[in-house]
Amino acid sequence: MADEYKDDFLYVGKDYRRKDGPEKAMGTAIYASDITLPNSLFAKVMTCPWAHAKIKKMDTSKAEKIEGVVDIIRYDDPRIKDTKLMSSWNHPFTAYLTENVEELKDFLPSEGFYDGEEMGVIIVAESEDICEEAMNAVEVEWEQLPFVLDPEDSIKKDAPIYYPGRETMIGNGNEIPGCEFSMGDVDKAFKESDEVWTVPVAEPMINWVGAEMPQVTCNWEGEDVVVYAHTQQPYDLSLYTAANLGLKQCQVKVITPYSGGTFGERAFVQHFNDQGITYIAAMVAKQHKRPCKCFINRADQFRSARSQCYMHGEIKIGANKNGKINAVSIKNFTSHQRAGLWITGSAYSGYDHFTDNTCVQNIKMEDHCAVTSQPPGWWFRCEQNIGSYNLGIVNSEVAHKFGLDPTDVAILNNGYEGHDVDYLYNIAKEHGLPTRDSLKACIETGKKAFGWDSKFHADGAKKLPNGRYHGVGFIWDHAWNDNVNTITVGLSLNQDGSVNILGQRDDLGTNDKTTYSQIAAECIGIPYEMVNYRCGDSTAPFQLKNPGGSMGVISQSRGIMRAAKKLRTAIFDKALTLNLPEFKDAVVDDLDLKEGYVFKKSAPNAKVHISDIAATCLPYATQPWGISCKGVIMVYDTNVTKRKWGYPDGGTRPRFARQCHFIEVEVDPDTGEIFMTNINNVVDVGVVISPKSCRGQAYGGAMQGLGRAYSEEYIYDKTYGVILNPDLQEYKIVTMLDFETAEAELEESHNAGGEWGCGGIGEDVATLIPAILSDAVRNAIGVSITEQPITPDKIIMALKDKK
Amino acid sequence: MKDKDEEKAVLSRRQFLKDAGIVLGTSAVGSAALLSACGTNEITKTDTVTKTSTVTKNVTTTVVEKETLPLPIETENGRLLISFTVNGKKFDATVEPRETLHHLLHEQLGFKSVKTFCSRGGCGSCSVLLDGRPVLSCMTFASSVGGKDIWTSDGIGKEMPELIEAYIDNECMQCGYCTPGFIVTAAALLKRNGNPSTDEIREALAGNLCRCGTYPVHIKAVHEAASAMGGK
Amino acid sequence: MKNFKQYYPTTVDEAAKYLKENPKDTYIVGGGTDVIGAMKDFILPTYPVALVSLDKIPGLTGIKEEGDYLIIGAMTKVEDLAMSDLLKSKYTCLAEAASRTASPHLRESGTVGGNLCQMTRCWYFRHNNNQFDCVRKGGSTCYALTGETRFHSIFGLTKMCAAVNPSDLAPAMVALNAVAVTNKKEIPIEKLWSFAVPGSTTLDHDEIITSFKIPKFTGKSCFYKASVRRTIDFPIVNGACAIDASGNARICLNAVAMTPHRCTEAEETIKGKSITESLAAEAGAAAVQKAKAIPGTGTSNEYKIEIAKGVIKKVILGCK
Repeated sequence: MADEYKDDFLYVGKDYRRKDGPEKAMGTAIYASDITLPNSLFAKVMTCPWAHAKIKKMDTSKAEKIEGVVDIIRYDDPRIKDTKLMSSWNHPFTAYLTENVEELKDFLPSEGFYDGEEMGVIIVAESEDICEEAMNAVEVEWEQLPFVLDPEDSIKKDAPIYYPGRETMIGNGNEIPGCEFSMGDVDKAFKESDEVWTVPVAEPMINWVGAEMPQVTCNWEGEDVVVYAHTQQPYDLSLYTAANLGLKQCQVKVITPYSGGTFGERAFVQHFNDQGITYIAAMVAKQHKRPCKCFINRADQFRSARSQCYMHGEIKIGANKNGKINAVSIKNFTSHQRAGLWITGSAYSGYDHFTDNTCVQNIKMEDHCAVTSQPPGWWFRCEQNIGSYNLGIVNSEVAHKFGLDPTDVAILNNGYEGHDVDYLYNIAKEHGLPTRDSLKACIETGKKAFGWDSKFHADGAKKLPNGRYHGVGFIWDHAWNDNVNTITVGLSLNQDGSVNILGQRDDLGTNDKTTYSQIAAECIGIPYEMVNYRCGDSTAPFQLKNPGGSMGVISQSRGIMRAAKKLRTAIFDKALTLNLPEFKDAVVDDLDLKEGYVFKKSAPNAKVHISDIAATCLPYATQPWGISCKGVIMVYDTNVTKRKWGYPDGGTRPRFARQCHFIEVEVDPDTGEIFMTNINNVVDVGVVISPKSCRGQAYGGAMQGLGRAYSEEYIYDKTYGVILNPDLQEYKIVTMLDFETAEAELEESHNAGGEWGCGGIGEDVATLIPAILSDAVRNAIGVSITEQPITPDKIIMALKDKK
Repeated sequence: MKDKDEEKAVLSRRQFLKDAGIVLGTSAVGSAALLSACGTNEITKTDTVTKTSTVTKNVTTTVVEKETLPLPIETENGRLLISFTVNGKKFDATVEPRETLHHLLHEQLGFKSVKTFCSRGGCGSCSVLLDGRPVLSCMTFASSVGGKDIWTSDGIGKEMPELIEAYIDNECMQCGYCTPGFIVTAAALLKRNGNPSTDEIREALAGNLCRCGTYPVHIKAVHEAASAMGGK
Repeated sequence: MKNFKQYYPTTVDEAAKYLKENPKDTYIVGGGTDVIGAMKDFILPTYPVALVSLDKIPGLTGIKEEGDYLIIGAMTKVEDLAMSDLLKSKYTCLAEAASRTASPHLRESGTVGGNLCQMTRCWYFRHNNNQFDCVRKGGSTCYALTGETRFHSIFGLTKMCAAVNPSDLAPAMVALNAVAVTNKKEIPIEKLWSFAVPGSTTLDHDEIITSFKIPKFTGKSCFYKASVRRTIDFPIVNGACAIDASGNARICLNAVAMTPHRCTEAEETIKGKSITESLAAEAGAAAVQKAKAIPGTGTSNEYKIEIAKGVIKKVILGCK
C-alpha cells in the first residue's frame, strides 16, 4: 500500500545484525546473577510460610552450628532495631500516586501478612547451599492469624483487618480508594438496548517469571557501595539504597549488566526483592568486609511478589442487534497488596479502553480494590490488563450474542470518548497528523493474512476429522502509543566522528541497542555503524526514567531526535570555525549532514567527513572531548484517572493507532484441551524501525498473553492461604508445543506517538491478547468462558453444563 | 591465555568428518564426541554400555572411552574428585556430593553460559551436552560426571558457528537469558538429525522455556542452521 | 541442599548392600530428576543421609527383544524409549508415553525405573520445607481434602491420602502387562504399587529394579495424555490401551488414583466387539462408573471424571 507519510529513511526500517546477538547466543553475556565476586558471602532472607502469621518463638541454635554459617540476623537483633525501608511516599516520581500510603515498611518484621513475605531472619553463609540448609534448620513457633484472599471478602465488615485505625482508608480499612467513573446515562441506555446481559469476568493473579531470579551483589569501595542488580531502574535503586543506608545517592553505583527478563516487574524498586535484598547485601558486606550476594530462590520469588493482581467481577452489557454497544457497566474487585508499596491496579482499572477507543456513550465503572493476603506486585506487561480485557470480552460477547463477525463489531464501535472515528481523525487532522483509519487498515491486513473470511463460522459449527472443534478468535485495542516517560538522552561525538548514545539503562531484550542506534544514525545523519548504545550504570550522565521499558521507542526516539538536532548544530558550528573552502560564506542553516558527510545544501558534492570535524575537537582543558548534547523530553500527565497522553510539544492527545489479532484453535471436547494452531498479530506500530525486532516483540507479547489466557495462574489453598504452585512445573507458562505457527503483520500509520509516529509493541500485545482465547473457544464450542485462564477443567465443566 | 588442548579441540567440522572413525587423542575427545553422531538418527549408545575398568588414582592419565565409567575418588571432607572434559578441555575438580553440575560449571569453573532459570528441571536454561545428550545441569549431580564429555553453549558456538549465526540472524534472543540453553538443545538435535522437520524442531526444543516468547523464530533458525551445515 | 553420603556402587549387589547398611533415609538415584528436586525443596520429612546411585552399574540399560520378552533395562533413559524404532512399531503405547513424559531434557536424564518409582506430585506433599505433615509423611491429615484437589484422586483414597501416581509410563506398562525384575524377585507391574502401602512403591528398602520384561506384543496399542500444556507437564489424566492379536484388551488409566488404575469394566465392554466410536465412549463411561470427585475448597476434580472417559475413548479408538 502506498504510504503518503513514508519518510525517505536511510537506516530506519532496515534489519541490522543485533548488536547483542553474538554475546547472547554464545552465552557470554553476563547477567547480575552470574556475578559472584571473589570471597563473596551469600545471604538469604526467610519468607513467611503462612498467609498471616507471627513469630512466637524462634530458635536459630541449630542453624548457627552448621559449618559455613557466618552470621544470623534475627528480627530481634539490635543491629537492625527500628530499621525501615523506603516507601513509595518518599519517591518523587510515584509520590503523587500514593497519597494514601505513607508508612515506611519494617525491614525485618516478626509478622508476615502473606505467604512469601520477607521477614524473621537473614542467614549469611559461605555458599547458597549452606544458606538454604541453615534456613531449613531455623525452628519457628508460629501464631497463625486470620487472613483473607478474595478482595470481595476483604471489604466485608467481618474481614480480618490489616491496618486497624487507618484513617486514610475507606470502608473497613482494607479497601483502597478504587476508581469510579460514569459517562452518559447507563440505565437509560440499557432500557433502549435490544439485549442486556451480564457476564462474569476474572483474571488470575499471575507472575512475571523473569528468567533470571532477583539477585543482588554488593561490594564496598571505601565509603561507597557498588551494587550489581537485576533491575530495570538502576537510578531508582541507587536512590532507595542510599536512603536505606544513610548515604548520599552519589555514593551508590548500581550496575545492571544484561537482565534476564524484566517486563516491568523489575521496575518495582519499592519491593523487598529490590531495595530489601540490596540493603541486606550492602549491610552484610559492610559488617563483614566482604562482598555479599543476596539471593531469592524461585519458590520465594513466586511467593514474595506477584505481577498482576487477581481480579473478578462482572460486566453488564447493553447492545443492539447490529452490534452497536449502547452501554457498559463494569464492577471489578481487585486484590491488593499491603500499603507501603505503590498502588497498582485500581487507578488503571476497567473502563478506560472503552473511553479511549470506542464510541460507546454510556459507561459506568465501579472498582473495589482491597488489601488481601496476596503478595504485592508491580506489572507484567502491563498494568492496563483489566481495561483491555474488559474491552475484548465485551466485543466478543456482543458478536456472539447476535451472531455477528467480531471484526464488524470492532469497526462499528471504534471511536474516541463516545464519538465515532471521524471525530477521532478530525482531531488528528487539526494537529497535522495522519488521518488513516488504523483499525480498518489492521483488520483488512489481518483478515487477508489469516484467511479470516474463509475460516470464520458460526459458533460450534465446525468439527474436524480429529474430533476436535475448530474455532477462530479476534481481538482489538489501541496500540500503545502513550508517551508516559520523562527521559533524558545524551549524544556524544567521538574524535573519529562516531557517536555514543548516553544514558543509564539496563537491557530488556527489546533490541534497543540496535534500534536506538538506527534512530540516532537517522536523526544525526551518520551511518548506523558509527553509532552505539552501551550500558551505563546509575551514575551515567543522563537518566532515562524508564530505560527501554514501556513504549521506550516513543520517548527515546523523541529524546534522541532533540539531542541530535542540538548535536548537528554544534557540529555545524564547529565546522564553520575551521575555515574550510567547502563551507565558504555559509551559516549554520546552510549546512546539512548525511551519511557522515557535512556539506552545503547548495553544493552537496563538496563534502567533508564528520571525522575531520570531530578530530578538531581536541581534549584541551578549555574544550570538551567531543561534543555532547542532551535531549530532554518531559511529557507526562499526572491525572491518572483521566489519562490522555501528550503531544510532543505539550497538550494532550488521543490514541490514533490500533492493533488486532487473529487466532485459530482446536478444542478437544473429550479432554477440554486447547490446541492453538495459528496466531496472526497485526499491530499498527506507527513506523517500523527494526522489522525483525518489531515482529519479535509481537510474537513475544502474544506468547505471554496466551499464557495468561491458557495456563498461567497462582493456585492457592483457601484453607491455609498458601501458594501451591510456586515453581515452573506447576505454574505453567507457554512452551514451544503450545502453538503451531505465529505470524506478525506490521502496519505503519505514522501516528503512534514517537518520532515519525513510531510506537510500542510487545507490551500491548501481551496485555490485550488474553481475551482472544475466550472469543476463539466460544467460536469453537459455543460456550462463553470469560473467567480465565481457560484450563481444561473450565471447558469440560462448561460443556457439561451445556448438555 | 589460549590453552593448547583447547586449540586442538577446536577442530573444524569438515576436518573432523574427513577423519571420521579415527580415534583421537584424549585432549580432543570432546570434539569428537560432539560431532561424532552427525548425520545419524540412531541412538545406540545406551544398548551396550559396560564397564571394563575403574579409574586409577592418577586421573590425569584416564582415557575416556565409552566403556569406561570412572568412579569419583573420595578426598578429604567427603569431597569427591572427578575428571571430565568441558568443551574439549580436560578438568579435574573436587565437588561436594550435594553439588549440582550447574554449580560446578557456573560457580567453580566459571562457565557463565550455563544459566539457572527454574533450578528444578522445568525450563532448559541450564542445558549442557553430557556425552551428547542435552541434559539439565541443575538436576544432575556433579559427582556423577566423572569421565564424561560436557559441552556448553560457548563451546558449541565455536564448533557450530552456523547455528550461532542463524540464531543472531533470526533474532532468537530477546533478554537472552534462556538462549544458551536453546543453543545446546538445538545442537543436540542437529547432531542427531542433520535435517530436522519443523515438528522435530518443535519437539526437540519443547523443554526450553523462553519468557520473552521467542519460540517462532527458533524454528526458522534451526532450519537455516541445518541447511547452512549442509543437512549432514 | 544439605550434604549427604554419595555411593556409586558398580554392581547391583553392592548397591543393595549400601541400602541394607543404611536402613532409613537412604534413597536410590537413577537419573536424579525426582530426588534432586525433592532434596532442593526440603520436602522429605527427614533429610536423606545417603544416596545410592545406579549410574555406574553396567548392564542396566538397553531395549531388546529376547526370547518371549521385550527387555528394557531399568536405567534406560526415557528418551531412548521415545526414540526407539522397535517400540514405536510394536509397543506403540510405551513409545508414545515416553515421548509425552516431562520434557525432552528430563527424558534424557530420567530413567524408566525412576519414572515408575517417582514420588507423587501432590502439592501438599511437595510443599517446600515439609510444611504440611500429611498422611504420606506419617501425619494424620490429608490437606488436599480441605484444599485444592484439581489434580487429585477420583478413585478413592489410599489410607486417607488423595494423591495420585503421576507416571506417564505406568499405564503403558500396565497395558502391556509388564513385569518388574528386581534383585530379589519378579513383580507383575500392577503389584509394584498398592493402596495398602503409602510409599511410592511396594519395593523393599533394599530392593532395586534392574529391568522390565514385557511379553512380546503383536497387537495394537495406544497412549493418550490429557494435560494443561503440551510439554513439561504432568498428566491431568493419562491412559493406555493394548489389544493383543487375539483381541484381548488391557486398559489402564493413571493420575486418577494413588496407583495406576486398571479399567477392567472398559476391557469387558469392548471384549469381542469391533471398535466403534460409540463403543469406545461406552467403555469410557463404564470405566468411570465408580469414580467420585473430591470437591475440596478450590477447583473440584469433578472434571477429571469426564476427561478420564475421554482418555479411555481415545486410547481404545487408537487401537482400531
